[in-house]
Amino acid sequence: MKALCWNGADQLSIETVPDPQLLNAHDAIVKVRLSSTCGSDLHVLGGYLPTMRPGDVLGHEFMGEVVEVGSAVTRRRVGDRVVVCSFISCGHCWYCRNQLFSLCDNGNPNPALPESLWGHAPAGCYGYSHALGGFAGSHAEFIRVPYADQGMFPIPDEVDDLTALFASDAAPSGWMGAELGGVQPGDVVAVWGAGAVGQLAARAAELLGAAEVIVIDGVPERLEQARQVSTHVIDFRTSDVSAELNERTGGRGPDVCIEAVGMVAASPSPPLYGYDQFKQQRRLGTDRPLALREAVFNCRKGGSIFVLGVFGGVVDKFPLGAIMNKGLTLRGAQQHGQRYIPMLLERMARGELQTRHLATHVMPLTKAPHGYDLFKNHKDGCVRAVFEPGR
Amino acid sequence: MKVVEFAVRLGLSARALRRRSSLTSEPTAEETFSDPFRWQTVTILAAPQEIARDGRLPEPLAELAEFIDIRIEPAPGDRGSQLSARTKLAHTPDSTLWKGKDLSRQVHSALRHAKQLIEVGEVLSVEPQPAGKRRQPATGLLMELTPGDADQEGVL
Repeated sequence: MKALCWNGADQLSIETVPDPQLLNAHDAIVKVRLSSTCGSDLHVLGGYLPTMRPGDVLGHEFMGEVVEVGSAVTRRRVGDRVVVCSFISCGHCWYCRNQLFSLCDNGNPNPALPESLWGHAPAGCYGYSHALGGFAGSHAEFIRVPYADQGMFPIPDEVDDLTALFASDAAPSGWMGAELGGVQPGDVVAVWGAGAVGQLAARAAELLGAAEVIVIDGVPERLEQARQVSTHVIDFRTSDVSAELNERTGGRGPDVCIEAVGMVAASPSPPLYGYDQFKQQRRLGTDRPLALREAVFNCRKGGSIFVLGVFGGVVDKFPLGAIMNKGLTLRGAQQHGQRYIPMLLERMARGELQTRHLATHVMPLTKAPHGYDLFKNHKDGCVRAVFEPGR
Repeated sequence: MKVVEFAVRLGLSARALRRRSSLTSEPTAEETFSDPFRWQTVTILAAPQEIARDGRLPEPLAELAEFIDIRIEPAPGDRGSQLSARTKLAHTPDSTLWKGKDLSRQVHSALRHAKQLIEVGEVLSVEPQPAGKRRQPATGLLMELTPGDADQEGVL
């Protein structure tokens, strides 16, 4: 079959690779209909994660049709149209039973690497480095889905493929940021990052009753889309973010701050951006926490911050003093999709959650390297490039 | 990332070197009294009586029964049971080996697999799977230093 393979920093190619096989009784094979780029792929693409191997198949946000199931799969059948959670979770360990699916004890067959880096291992994820299991990704014609009964969700007839696609990762990520960030009715919520995850975090905050949702970014097309799901947007290239947030919150600062940017954050304002960029480019540091610093600084006293953007290692110049002295709560997680996907599909079916506008560029899988170029470099107004292996 | 990569490489290399030395020479004091004989523990979401049904050790730990001590105790807060194992203390000069391999690593792997078998009913596999040509890495060198049997490494 054809698949998009990573061959080193900023090197992608379409290759012919072996078809996936059922390896465990709980597995299924899915014929991929749609597979999306994601901001977190850029960390892999740029070579910021040292746990990739040349030849690895990328992609973790996808939907498709079940074409084969293992002997222990009972809830899904061949022919089902499904969306698949990007994280691989067993459904039976203590973490899964407590709805913390991305922390599953049994979803990552390669735990030594993350344990060396982080102390303990999170669950596995498709196409996202050997630290998260080394599973082949979804930018391919077919994909193996372990623990299929836990991770595959039937798509309601009312929901089209392109809408359902984002129930795989972006929508549950956004919902989790708002819910676990503690959004309450009447809150002012600020979201850093107007990509798909940021926009869907903003929409989730709105649905959870936030009085005002403010989205911060520097890409015009994304800000334009974010206007549909927020009460106010801030362009950090032309505005003083702190001054605007203070002005809009009566000097209090946002109650909940959601960081949906991650380790490759950008900012027009030196010197801290230049400092972070210098360290990262020379491999002296791992992550650029510009948006996170800004969230910590601007969050109201006693407020909460949720880290949705992906970070891989350690950060420098982190304002720990602000967290302690302002009494802030800081949380983060990879997405617990199994917890949210059925509810999100219902909301999609009712028209409460719009996502298909995020797929600004839909193209055949064979054009995937071009799609990543558009996505990474914000060319042609690209918010998400989506690949169709069957086209 | 270079700093983290270096630290991880160093950790893995040190572990690999320590492993090699344990196969070829007398164990050091550190190896004798800390690593090989330390209790290794997993928490399993199951009651203690489900861990050792009819007094039998769970697979694949049962295969190592002759060479290991086992401890099963309830985990606090309804988290199931804590299953612990360690190599029996110095019963023979080569007590750190089993079938020519580092016994403590076999115990490590067996604990992880026992947990998966009890909780899920299978041990999750990842190979073989689709991949393109495995070229010499420009980056990602860390992966080339990572042992293939990674479930024998890490925190327990």
